[in-house]
Amino acid sequence: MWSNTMEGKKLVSEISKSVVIETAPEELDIFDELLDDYSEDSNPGTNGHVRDNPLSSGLDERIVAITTIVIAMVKAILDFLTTESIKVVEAEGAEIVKKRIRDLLGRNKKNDRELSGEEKSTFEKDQLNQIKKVAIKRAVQFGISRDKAEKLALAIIGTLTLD
Amino acid sequence: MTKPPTARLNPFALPTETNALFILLLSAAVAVLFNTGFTIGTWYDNLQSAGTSYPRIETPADLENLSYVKEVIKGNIEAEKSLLLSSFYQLSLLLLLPAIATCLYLIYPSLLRKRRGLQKLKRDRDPKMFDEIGKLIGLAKPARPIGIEIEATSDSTGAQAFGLPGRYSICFGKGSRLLLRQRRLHFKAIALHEIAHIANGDVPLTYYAISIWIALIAEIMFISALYLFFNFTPLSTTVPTITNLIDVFPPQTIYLFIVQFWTTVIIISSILASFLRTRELYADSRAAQWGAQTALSELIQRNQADVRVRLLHGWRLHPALHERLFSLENPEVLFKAKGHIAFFVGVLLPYTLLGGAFFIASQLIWFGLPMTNIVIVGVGFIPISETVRSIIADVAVIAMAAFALLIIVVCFLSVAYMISGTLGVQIQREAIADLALKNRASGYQKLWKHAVLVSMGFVLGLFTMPVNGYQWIADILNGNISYSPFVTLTVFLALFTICATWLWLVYARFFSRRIFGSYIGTVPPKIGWHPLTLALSFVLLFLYTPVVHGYVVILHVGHDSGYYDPGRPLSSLVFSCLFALIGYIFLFCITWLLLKFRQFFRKSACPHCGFKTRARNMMIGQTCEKCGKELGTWLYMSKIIDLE
Ligand SMILES: [Zn+2]
Ligand SMILES: [Zn+2]
Repeated sequence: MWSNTMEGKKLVSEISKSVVIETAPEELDIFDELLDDYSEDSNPGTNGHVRDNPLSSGLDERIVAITTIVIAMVKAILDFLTTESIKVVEAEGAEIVKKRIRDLLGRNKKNDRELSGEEKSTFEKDQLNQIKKVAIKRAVQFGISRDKAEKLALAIIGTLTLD
Repeated sequence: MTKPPTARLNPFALPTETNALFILLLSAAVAVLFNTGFTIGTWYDNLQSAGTSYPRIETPADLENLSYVKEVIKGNIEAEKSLLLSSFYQLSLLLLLPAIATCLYLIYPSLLRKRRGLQKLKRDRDPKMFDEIGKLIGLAKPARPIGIEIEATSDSTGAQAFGLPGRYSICFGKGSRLLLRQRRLHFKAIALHEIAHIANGDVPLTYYAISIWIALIAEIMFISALYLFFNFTPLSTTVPTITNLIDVFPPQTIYLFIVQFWTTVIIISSILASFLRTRELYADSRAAQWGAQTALSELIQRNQADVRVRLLHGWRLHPALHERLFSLENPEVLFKAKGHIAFFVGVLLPYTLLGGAFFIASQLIWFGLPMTNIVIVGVGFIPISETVRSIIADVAVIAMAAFALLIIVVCFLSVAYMISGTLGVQIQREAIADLALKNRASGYQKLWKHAVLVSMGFVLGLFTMPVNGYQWIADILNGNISYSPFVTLTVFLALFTICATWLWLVYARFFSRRIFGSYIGTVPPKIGWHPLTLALSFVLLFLYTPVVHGYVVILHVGHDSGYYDPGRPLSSLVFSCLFALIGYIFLFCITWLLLKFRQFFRKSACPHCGFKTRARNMMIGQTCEKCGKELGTWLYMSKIIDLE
């Protein structure tokens, strides 16, 4: 997936960070570590389980960082968009796919923006809904409520579109 | 429904139940191995023969016959040698236990660090967490700094205190860093709970208890395996030298041994589990004093809602969450004497009093006899007058007997002290709390429950103690001997144990109310080493004389299974019961008089204003006549710290 490339990772980090600033600012100081953890293990089920360790406090929980969920959601959205873009522009080269995604997201640098002026698009409504669905689906895998997942999804989409 | 903070009793004012359970576990481990050791070697038979069947000097004329003298010396040395050899197995089993346990205990911290991939938390990695924990540790005022370590992989929010004395550490799951950011107070509560373990001093006890348990299981498994191996394989006949280590028993006896071993293991495991559960309640309580009560309650309730966690708690190595919540909100329940202590003490009675102290005593006598024989020979060749010679010989016998008697008293007394220091102290705790809380109702009736539990444990212990008067169960099952004397004697001993234990508990409650009830000040009394606890041991010795006597009768009946006169041992038992009862009344009166005497000359000063009053019986739970403040300050918690 493109999101696993250096460039893609940078984008994931960038978007996630701005969402975390909004939704879970208290986790910001360990953002980088959580990002590293996620790239090591992105599976919501396996990293860490509560054993009944008689020597610990007996009140152990396994909690997931909002940051981790946001990263997972952003990555899911990017992956979704990549596949969608590939469907549309199958013939085009990889370089163009990347560019299209960045364009789609409206995140091109200002000097690039003029060049692709007419292409610069905001998301269409049904596309947005699809993105939201993908993001929520991923978030729920981490065991958070649908409600909370939806809020996070909205925050991410907000960041994506307004930026 | 929480009480105002100033009215809260401080569970740490008196020795805790955690300590009692640890002492019980250690005593159980030692006693069980000691008893198991009997089953190894031909120890018991040696005991029987050593004292009786070896030659000795009877008359001065025997000394003239030099070849007979040689025979006497040789025979008695032989006897000592075989006694020593068989007690060597027993002793090595016993010494192996602390050796293995200490090794496990010492390597555990590094094992844990390796297995969990722990890393020291440096301040620059997470200054927020580092500083937060630092502040919380400050509440405990530890003598040495406490290390902070982080697990490399686990996402858990849990923490665990570990390490050797002076070098304690708390390791946190990686999830804790997140918890600190998401729910700061909950993080603090978990950290304080772990710091509380260190402050309560139960960290070394915990890891040592677990190490002892592992070592014990390993040894018992080894012995069970030896039994099965040498009794049920052809090797048992082809390798006679090794077989000498292990008696070859008929199969039913072997099954009995195995069942006894493993019941014993279950009992010891439940003592360990109780210990592990109890320490949690006390850690919660300490953390609550540091202000974590609300946060801990919330955390417990969160876990209660989580069915997955609750299922895991079926192992019951942690207290049930509702129990935790309840004792958090009502710290005075930590003053209640728990039934399981009484039961465990009951189980340990046969192991320690009968299998332990009684056997050590008889061993020493058997050891002493051949030695005295040799001494008498030696004295026979010293060129002194016949009268002096006989005096020296008499003195040697008396000295030997006195020494044996001293050891007997020491052995029995230490068992009694173990019981006073555990069950006795718990009863005293309850009595003092009842005074403070003004629970007068049914205090002495409550003690029946404990007495019955001790007796139930006692009967169970009689049957599960490896090698005991009841090893003839196998014979009974085969119909070789009649079971009726055993049933009669067991019922008698069980009933007597109930009554004797109740009387003892009454003594404990009655006098702790009067002694600690009149104790005021700011520093708690040293209840564990208090003269009252020592007095309790003596009272217990008196009261349990018929128990030991009854056991001797059982041994006797088992040995002489051919004949049995049901009236004879029972009538002698009635005599020792009377002896116990009179001794008890005597000690009770003496203690009461001493107390009256002391009270007559004693004045107490109010810890707040110094106002002097004549000491009264019950000053706990009462206020000063002059300043109106609580007199027994030592029993109450100081101001609770606010966590925020
Ligand atoms: Zn704990
Ligand atoms: Zn006063």
